[in-house]
Amino acid sequence: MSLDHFRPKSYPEFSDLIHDPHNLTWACRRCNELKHNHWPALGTTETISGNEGFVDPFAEDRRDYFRVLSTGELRPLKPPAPYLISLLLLNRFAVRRIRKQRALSAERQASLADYLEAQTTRINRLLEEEGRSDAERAQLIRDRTVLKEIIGQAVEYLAVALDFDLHQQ
Amino acid sequence: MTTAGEPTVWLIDDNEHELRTHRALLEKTLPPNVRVDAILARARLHDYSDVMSNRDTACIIIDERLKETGVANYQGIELANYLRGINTKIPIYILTNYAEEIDEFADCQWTVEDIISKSDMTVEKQKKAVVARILRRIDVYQDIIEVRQQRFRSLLKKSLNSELTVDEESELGELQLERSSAILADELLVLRQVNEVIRAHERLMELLERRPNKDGQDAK
Repeated sequence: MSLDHFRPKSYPEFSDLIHDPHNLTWACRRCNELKHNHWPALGTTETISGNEGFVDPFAEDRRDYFRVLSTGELRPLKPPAPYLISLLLLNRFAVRRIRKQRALSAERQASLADYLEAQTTRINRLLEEEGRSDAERAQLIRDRTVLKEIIGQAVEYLAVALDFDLHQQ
Repeated sequence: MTTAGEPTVWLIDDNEHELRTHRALLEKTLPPNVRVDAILARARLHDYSDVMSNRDTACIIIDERLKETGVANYQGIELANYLRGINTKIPIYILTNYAEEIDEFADCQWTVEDIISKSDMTVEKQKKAVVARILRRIDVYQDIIEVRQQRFRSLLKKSLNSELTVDEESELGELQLERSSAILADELLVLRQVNEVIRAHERLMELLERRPNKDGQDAK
């Protein structure tokens, strides 16, 4: 990731914002390079001018402007989303692929968490049943621990393995 | 009005001492608004994506012998050819100690702007002439970039507000390709890593979905 000067530092109008934390935001390195010094709203206090401009990450929710499709494609909802998609090439192949996989990964994590919860509940219920021997109880507790560990590790792996420096969402 | 970033001249060599020396020589001769960045040769050709996608990159000077320390497995001219494939306009120079070998580079005249003899860099008059040539090429390159950027902005704006003609559409596509080729080349590697992770995810899910049967064997 890289630090982006949201209002480009190369314009004299924004030279006093170079170290302003309210003008610094995280950006993937490639998006930052493609953004460069583009700033269509120059000469105004706005960040958007007509159909062009940038969504202020400090003031707005980007989800109001874009929707992520299951294919990984970003669908523009309103301007300046089409401008940003063209300028920053937000629908290029690698980005779509990783976006799609992140969504799938999130689904899998949720499904594994559900599975863990269901199995833990089932084991807890078995443990509450009367008439179980100590050996059976010990085995159930071991099963519950092992299950928690395995699923926990799998969920963690699914969460971090796609953590590329490529257009984090 | 915008003040562009400082134009940067990249110097690539696998010999740290020579790299420092040539950087100092260039810094002394180039105007103060031109930045000189030195990088030790990297292992693979595609390890220079940061240089190629850096908007301030104005010129690349590559030592011909890059295999001496064993880090890189390519020579300077191979790197120049690779970088030329990504950017057709950027000024690229080859630096050589072996002035007598300059003829060897005759076939590369379309890849690099010039072959610079290191001995020229130690004689003040010749060094100034070399640097003047480099600066002229940097100016031409920056003009090309500026014209392209203006044209890109104008076509992008038009595409958002009205229909582009077929020719304009194709021109916008070409301009997009020019500005993104370094990024796309770099992302081929990321894609390979992503595909590996995807395969690992699939294997993991397959293992987790297996249920041992009563004999303790996998059901699948």
